[in-house]
Amino acid sequence: MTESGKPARRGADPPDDRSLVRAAQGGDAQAFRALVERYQRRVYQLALGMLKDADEAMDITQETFVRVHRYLPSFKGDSSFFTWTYRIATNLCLDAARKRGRTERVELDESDAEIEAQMDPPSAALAGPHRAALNAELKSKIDEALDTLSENHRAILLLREVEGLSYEELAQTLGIRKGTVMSRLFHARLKMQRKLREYLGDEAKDESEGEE
Amino acid sequence: MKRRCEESVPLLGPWIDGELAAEDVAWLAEHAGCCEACSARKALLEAQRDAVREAVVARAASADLSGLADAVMARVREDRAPAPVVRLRVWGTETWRAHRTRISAAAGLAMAASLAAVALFSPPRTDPPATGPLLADARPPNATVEVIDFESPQGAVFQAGQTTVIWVDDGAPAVLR
Repeated sequence: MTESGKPARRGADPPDDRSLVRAAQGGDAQAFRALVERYQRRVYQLALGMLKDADEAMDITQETFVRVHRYLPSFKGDSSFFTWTYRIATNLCLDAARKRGRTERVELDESDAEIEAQMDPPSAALAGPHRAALNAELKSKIDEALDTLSENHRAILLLREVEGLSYEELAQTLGIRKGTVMSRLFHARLKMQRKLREYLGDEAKDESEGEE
Repeated sequence: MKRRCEESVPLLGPWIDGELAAEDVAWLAEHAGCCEACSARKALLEAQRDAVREAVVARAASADLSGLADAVMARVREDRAPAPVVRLRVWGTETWRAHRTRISAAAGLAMAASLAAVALFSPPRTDPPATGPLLADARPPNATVEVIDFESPQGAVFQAGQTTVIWVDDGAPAVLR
């Protein structure tokens, strides 16, 4: 795990999470600090993606680790440390978003019309030459599109696309079943595509038509 | 719209996520190999995934987190383990949320059992012991109070036929003749 923000997997550098957690549970402050430093950027990334506010994301990141420390004695290791940490961070982000009153209900029973919609000829704007050099405008459009998603859709999308969590880890982190993970992720991606298509407008349409 | 496309669309995400069984990957790959639209859909999902990742990582990369670990450690030093009362409250809240139906049912049963126990095992109601004023009940049948002398230095004196009752005071026993 590095500070690069890449979704590198845990256990890449010794000492691994498990030994650090055990040491931290025994009162080793340096071990706990190592865990903070290992995951702080990823937690911050998640919080920033969820809340879109740098200061709030920083507060949430700090609060996440304070809570991690507080409840570390009760951590049994049933899930991985980072899944557990993400769960705390995600819940704090969702709470913060709810306090802002921005939360929409997740529609998990969307009809097959959603699937039909995806059967439309896909936009290739993201896969085209513009994708090769992700420009500032596209980044901003992605931010805007992310912002239109419900908090739950945004959380699962960020945890999957940015943090690279497996479906099993997503289920543990979000406290939902694996089937719900698949459904929620599918709809989150679909909504993201639609929003990006709206934002990219004619450019997407042109490229899509060109491919077909 | 091909039937194979309808089946493949919901599986494209799990495919790029590496969450599909080998046999599903095999038929999807075969289908995408000869279906331009599904191949493009898969490419789009991958591109979107990479674009989202790059955008979010780039945005967070500029943040200065150098002081965050220090701030966390400072707060952790201040932060004490939750007081027993707080822990009890948290435990109670969590337990209530998890088992509210069972707790409600158990509470109802316990209340019903308590009421039944009270009804079954309570001693029968008895009259309170006789006190001063009930002394009149000791009068012979048909007796009537003929004289009441409140001026007596010994206390109140009742005269009922052959019976004289002298109510001396609260502390001394009454005298019957």
